Amino acid sequence: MLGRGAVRLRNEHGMALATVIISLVVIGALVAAALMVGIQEQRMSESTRWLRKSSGLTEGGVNEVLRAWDAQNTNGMTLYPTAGSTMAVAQTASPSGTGVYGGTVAKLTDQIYLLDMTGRDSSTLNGRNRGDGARQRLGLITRVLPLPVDVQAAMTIGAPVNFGGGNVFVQGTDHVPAGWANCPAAGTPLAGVRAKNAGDANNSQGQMTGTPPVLITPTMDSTTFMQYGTTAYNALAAAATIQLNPGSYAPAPAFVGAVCTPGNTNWGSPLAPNGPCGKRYPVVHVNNFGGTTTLTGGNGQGVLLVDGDLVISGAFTYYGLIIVRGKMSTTAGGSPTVYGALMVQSMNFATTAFAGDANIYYSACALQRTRDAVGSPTLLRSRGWVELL
Amino acid sequence: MQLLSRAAGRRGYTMVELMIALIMASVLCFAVLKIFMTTQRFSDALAQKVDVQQNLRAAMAILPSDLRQLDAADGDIKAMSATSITIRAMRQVGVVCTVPIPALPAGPFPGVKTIVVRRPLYSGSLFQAPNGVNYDSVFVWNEGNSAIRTDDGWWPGRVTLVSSAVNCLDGSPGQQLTVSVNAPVPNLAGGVPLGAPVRGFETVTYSLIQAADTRWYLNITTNNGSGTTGPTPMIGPLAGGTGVAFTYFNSAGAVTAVPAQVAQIGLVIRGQSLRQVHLPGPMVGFKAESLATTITLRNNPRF
Repeated sequence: MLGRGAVRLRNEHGMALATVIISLVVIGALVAAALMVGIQEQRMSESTRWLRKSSGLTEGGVNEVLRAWDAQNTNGMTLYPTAGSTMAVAQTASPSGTGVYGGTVAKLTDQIYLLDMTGRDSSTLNGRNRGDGARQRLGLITRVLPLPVDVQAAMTIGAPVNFGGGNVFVQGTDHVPAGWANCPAAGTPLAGVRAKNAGDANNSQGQMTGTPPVLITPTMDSTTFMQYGTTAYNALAAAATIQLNPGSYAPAPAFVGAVCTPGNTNWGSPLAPNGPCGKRYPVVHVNNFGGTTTLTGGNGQGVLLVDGDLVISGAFTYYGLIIVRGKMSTTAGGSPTVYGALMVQSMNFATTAFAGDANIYYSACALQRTRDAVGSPTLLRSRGWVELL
Repeated sequence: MQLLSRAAGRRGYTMVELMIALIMASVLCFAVLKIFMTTQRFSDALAQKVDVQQNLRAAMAILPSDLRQLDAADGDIKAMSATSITIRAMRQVGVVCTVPIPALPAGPFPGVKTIVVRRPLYSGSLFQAPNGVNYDSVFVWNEGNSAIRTDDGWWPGRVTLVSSAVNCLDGSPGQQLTVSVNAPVPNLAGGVPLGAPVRGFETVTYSLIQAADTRWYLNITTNNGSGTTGPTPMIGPLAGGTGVAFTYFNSAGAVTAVPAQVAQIGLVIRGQSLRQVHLPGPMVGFKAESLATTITLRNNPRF
């Protein structure tokens, strides 16, 4: 019986198995197609998400570069496209860990910079993306806003000054510093001395010259010395490149080969503007109101902020802006030369104290370069945001 | 005899068996066919959906890129409606490599001037010579008084002549542009300094247009030195006359019809599948998807 039954089974020709196999193949193919479409859809969605992440990273990177603007190194760059006109922004991870940004900062003019930033999302970096992943490139044209100090005279005083008979020369004529290339021609002269009351500048004997020699501004008050547009003295002092305590100093440029070496007594090299430290314009802040700082010689450029008193006892040369909150005086042998402007809130330029020479020359070029060099970046009034191709 | 005996011993299919087998086979075939058709429709609908979404994403990548760069307050939106917008679309970034504007006394300063921009441009392709009717357009950065910001701005102008025979001051390759400048502010000596940025733009219209196939598409029309191109279908097909909807908001978030007051642009794109697909139920129609976004204009004046 068993043998006959087996024979019978072998001889039957059904089509169920074939039908099932064919159906499975067809259904499998269609499901695979649908799956592939779904995967494609998912990939496109992810690509879009990565691109959005990259855009956010890039924009965040641009803003971070603006926030952490390094005025000393960035503002002193040469003009695009010469060597030294572009600074690299290293690949930096975003705080949220969503990716990295990096790029360049190029100096187009003395005040205009182009930030060129590219952001890449983290999945691109981790190699989880197929292909090159997502990246976004953006540009931001930004302008360094010069330090908005309202200089109206070679020397601005908040208290009376007695020139006596010393060799003190204060000149409001625009002086172009010797050896400084690309300075514009001498411009409109300013006043020699700017004071609050008539009679505050005494016994000049012709040492004060300018247009006019003495400018009286009755409305002058402490804000003249402590508020510069939207920038306050305290904010400028707090963000200074160099913070010093009262003491004796003789600043001088320091460098190794062609590389300028930052340091507390390296205030740039105004006498060698093409030297290694020629682009260094530090903001120097001497704190401790009530203390006395003595400059025994040397030279520097930039902005010098002195909370207390300033005494000059040697041949000190400075290009830029000096603001003294306390008194300023010279001792025997002290002979400051300033190209730019001097602002002293509580003046004590008395004959007895002023034993040496002094040459205070207004210089628009020295002031403008200082303002540019220590200025902070701001967004352009319009059209600064660029999608780079 | 033996053969006859074997034939007689074989049992054939009865009619009933055949009928049952045929019915079962028919049911099976019908089921397979139904599954096949359903899966095919599903697959087709998915493909169409992906196609529509891809269209929408392309629109969302292209339009915001152009719209974000607008400075509406300074005239970058030439015309606008719910289904169309004509703008100055930024295309190039260059750098002036000669001092273009001589020292002139302050005063209104319209006129034709030449500037040389560094080659290659920082971004984008070089400027094109006009064809006699159409022009490339530029904005030249005017710093004015370098000590203040309130006089900063961009001078619009159109490029009336192009020459690549003029180099930069430093001898590197340049492209000289003769620009008909329309300066809104007095010219100051040195107001356009060496290295000033130049931005090139073309006039672009994005508009919803019904094509000859009766379907609706987002079209692009460009106008630059090489002429007027378009309208060319860019995105679509879209869902009829409401396939694109622009809404314009001012800085207070209220809807505005004044181009110069636009601070944000709301954009809704409603895409439609190329072919009709089986929708849920017995219906057949176009697959529709939509995307919406709001674009903040990044280059509006800040003060």
